[in-house]
Amino acid sequence: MIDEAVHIAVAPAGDVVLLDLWSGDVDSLCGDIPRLRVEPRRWWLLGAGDRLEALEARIADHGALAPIGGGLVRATITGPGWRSLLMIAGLFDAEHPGFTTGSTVSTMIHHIAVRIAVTTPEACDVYFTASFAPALIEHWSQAAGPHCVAIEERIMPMVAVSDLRPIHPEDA
Amino acid sequence: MSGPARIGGNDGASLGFTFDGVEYRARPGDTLAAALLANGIGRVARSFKYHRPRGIMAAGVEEPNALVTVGIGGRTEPNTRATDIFVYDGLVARSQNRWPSLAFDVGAINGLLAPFLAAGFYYKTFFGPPKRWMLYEKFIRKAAGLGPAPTEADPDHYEHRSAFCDLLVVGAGPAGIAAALTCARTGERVILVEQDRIVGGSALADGASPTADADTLRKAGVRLLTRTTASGLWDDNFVTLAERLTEPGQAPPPGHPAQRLWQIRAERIVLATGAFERPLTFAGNDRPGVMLSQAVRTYIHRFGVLPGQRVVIATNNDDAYATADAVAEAGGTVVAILDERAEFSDVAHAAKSRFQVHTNSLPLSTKGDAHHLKSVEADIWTERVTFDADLLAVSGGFTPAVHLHSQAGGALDWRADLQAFVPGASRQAVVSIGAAAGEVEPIAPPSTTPLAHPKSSFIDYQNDVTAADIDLAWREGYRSVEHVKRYTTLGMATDQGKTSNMAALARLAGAAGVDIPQAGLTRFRAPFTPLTLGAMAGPDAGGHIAPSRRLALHDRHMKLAPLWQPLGYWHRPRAYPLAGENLHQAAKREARAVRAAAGIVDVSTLAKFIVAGPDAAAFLELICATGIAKLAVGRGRYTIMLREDGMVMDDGTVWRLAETRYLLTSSTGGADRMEAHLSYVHRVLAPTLRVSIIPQQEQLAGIALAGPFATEILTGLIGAVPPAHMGLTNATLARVPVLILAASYSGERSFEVYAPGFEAGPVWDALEAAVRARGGYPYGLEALDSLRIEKGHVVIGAEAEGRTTADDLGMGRMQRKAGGFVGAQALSRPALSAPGRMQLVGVEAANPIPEGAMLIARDGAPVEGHVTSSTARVLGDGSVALALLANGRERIGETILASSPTRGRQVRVTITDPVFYDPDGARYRD
Repeated sequence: MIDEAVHIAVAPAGDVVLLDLWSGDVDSLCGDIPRLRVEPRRWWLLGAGDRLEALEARIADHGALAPIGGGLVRATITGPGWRSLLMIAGLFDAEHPGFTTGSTVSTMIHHIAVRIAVTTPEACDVYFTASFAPALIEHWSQAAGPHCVAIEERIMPMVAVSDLRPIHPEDA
Repeated sequence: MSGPARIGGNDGASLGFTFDGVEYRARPGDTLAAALLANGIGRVARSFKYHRPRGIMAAGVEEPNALVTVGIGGRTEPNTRATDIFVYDGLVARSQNRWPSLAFDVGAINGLLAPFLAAGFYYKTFFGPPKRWMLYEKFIRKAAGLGPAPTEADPDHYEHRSAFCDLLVVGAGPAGIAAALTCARTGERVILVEQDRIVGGSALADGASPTADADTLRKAGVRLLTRTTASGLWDDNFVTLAERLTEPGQAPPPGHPAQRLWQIRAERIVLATGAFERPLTFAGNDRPGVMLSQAVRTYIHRFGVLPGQRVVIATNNDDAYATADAVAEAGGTVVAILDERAEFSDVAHAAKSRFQVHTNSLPLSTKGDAHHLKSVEADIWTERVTFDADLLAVSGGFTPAVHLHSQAGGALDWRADLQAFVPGASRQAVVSIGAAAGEVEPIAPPSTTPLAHPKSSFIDYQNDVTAADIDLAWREGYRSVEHVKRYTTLGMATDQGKTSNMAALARLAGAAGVDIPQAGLTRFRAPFTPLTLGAMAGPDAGGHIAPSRRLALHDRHMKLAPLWQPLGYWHRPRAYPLAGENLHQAAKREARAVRAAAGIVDVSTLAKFIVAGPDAAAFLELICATGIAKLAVGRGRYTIMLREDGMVMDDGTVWRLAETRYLLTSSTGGADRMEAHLSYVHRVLAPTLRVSIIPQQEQLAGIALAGPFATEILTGLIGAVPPAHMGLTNATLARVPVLILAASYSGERSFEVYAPGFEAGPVWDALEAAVRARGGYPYGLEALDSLRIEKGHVVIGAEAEGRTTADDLGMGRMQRKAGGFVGAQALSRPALSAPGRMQLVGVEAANPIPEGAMLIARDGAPVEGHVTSSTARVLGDGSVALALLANGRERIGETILASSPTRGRQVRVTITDPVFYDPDGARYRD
């Protein structure tokens, strides 16, 4: 259990689009789209759903895109206890002084694969697949104990981009 | 007054506790052992084998005798050392391994039977006729063990927590405190671990204040963990720590865990674990009133308890003289000091003016009653002397606590002056300091005087192993110390030989005529000090034994009150019984609805991957054994994937969404394995391919619509004609964009409708309403299984069970003849086409066919195969099943026996083609 307060807000991650690049530069191709680098040549583009077609045109043969937000959850953890919370049943050194704003990591918490992005000194976003949300929320609830200010869960129907676009006429 | 007592009375004893139902008082900070002594209780336990009365010997985790059961109900903790639990108000403690009471224990008769219960007696009961063992077994099982395990569920929760540091210091004695402070002041991240409740270590025994208190340490930046034991040191400086947040049997505050298991990864480790004082070996050395010398000092200085009034001290080193001083200062009488050494040391010489000191003297035996020590008999030079005493404080030297160093792979060096092993070269960044490194009092050379009474001279108190037992093991041919350990039970259980190891090795070395290092040393396996199963399990207990995955459509299913089926981490609806229906009836109704009208089933858990890029087709041709390159855009096909050894790994479908974009599906159970396989093939076998593999398992929730009305229903919902079998289209259903794949698993005209996970609810609602309007139902896994078995569709794990090739499953001709896919090369191995391979067949009978039954020609005949999946026919009577049978395809029409000894059933079955339903596939084509 942690010693300091946290607030946890859980919601669908929104229009997250996965980008793989095998050539080209992500900065020039994606501009100012907020993103997480999750592998050496893989990024999550946050809130990029409405720009999917434009992005596809720019990416062209440099890589591939696919929406993943339909089954992805984001937990925003704020408060001084967030680092301690991530150490409970976690494997990554979230207490390391070098793990600061802008850092991201792929790791496991409570046997569940997560991606953590430090957003401010007092907050981080934790992304994980939606099916694990109840298990992880229950884990955090127990781990934070009375220091959990609140857990807000807003996993509800949402409008997410999908891969379900019409087949191009020339492909048919 | 005689026996133990609180110095100056029991004032300030504000805590109430019970021992064997009697109420007592304790001071805050008392261990249970200190509190019992303060209340004049000398006998607290019965020994394991002989049920001998035992008292308190130590003041720390090395206590071998005073094991008690504490707590009630699910918080009951047996075999807790009374020296390692701090009294709290309401503590309930009970003696154990006795019946009916500690004072009168019927089991003490074992003492009279000692000649028959010597070392290895248990193994000797295996000799002779088996019937004799059946007789012994009852008694041995009843007698085995100490405190009974609780039968109620533990109501508390346990936590696992990670931490990283530059330096981990184990042990907050003077050396550990100094090391932690030094590094913390340089800005390093330091964790200091202490199994006691307060810091100070050995200083506490001498009444000295620790060099730094907890506040000082914390202000310096040290993360201090008290009541925390380093339970194991593993590879790469990984250490597990067990932290007691509450005392055994104590209820934690609401919401708080009872214990925490830390997983520490440290850059460097300092072991300041101290040393264990050893007892001396003589007759009756296990009697209540015989205590380790430093423990006596600890009780006096730390707890204000004088464990006896008339004290004899027996030692082979100078340290015990401090105990004499402590006893005298506390108002006790030091009757005599028996120093094994022939010459007076400086300390001994100085003590002569205050105490009666005898050199070249050894305790020979003790006398007393069940509660107290009464006298000590000793050999002093050539004279035999008896001293009246109620406490014998012994010090046989010190054994550095080297277990963590050893677990880290470190070597051990022998120190003859200590008669103990000390840390040698280390394999990891682990350093031992202080007493743990051998900075302890040297002792006299071991005595060569033969033991007068080896059968009552105990070496391992906890396991009732005497010197005679070690001798017997040697005489019976046990030469390896590891074998002696197991034969005699020496150093087993919670004790792990903390106080007994060196005495046992000395005895064994003496029998062998070798030095102790040549006698060997048993391994220091973790945990050296016990930790609870709860701490090890952590949060992974009960319903949390594994993380549970919730379907995107979970809430929709819940409204239908299904029977749930665990499937890996998932929980999926097995059936949706209507009022009064059981599982079988519900599944039958649901399956029949699919055959006759329509049904929907949640298939969201299927593995799904977008495979995109200029080389996507080339990549899929590596993955899939079937043809991919010629697949037209907008079309899909069934496919199989092989392991590199040629066995079927998984199956699924592949769909061409666009010129360079595919959707690959595979089984639910193999989803993680398939993701790893795809990654392996891309990164290792084909790293130059420009392809992206993007998991979509949860991005796309899936609903399969099946049945003769499926086309009509879907047409109504999407306002367009759905695709032909193995075609695909995009559409909008219930205002949600969906992907529709026309594929059939049930054997009926079917469509898989995929929508983003968070949007799938309305799609389900619309499909369910339309299906019900046509007389159909949602259906679960049970009906799905019946439908696919009738259709002869295989399942990964049942039919494709890791040893089957595509040819074994009747799908050999689907594989590309040109090869070029993973596993293709292995298919040319002769064994894979040799006669006698298990081949997929159908099996039918009038009666239910037991799943898993072996297929045999007759009773007692060799097993020729087994039933992999079985079901009742959906529409007709009788049962059908799939099976793997040797040379199965050549045996269609044969009658054979399906025998299930575990279910006690045998059914005569007929071997058939595996496709029982619509073999031409007319049902799923419009």
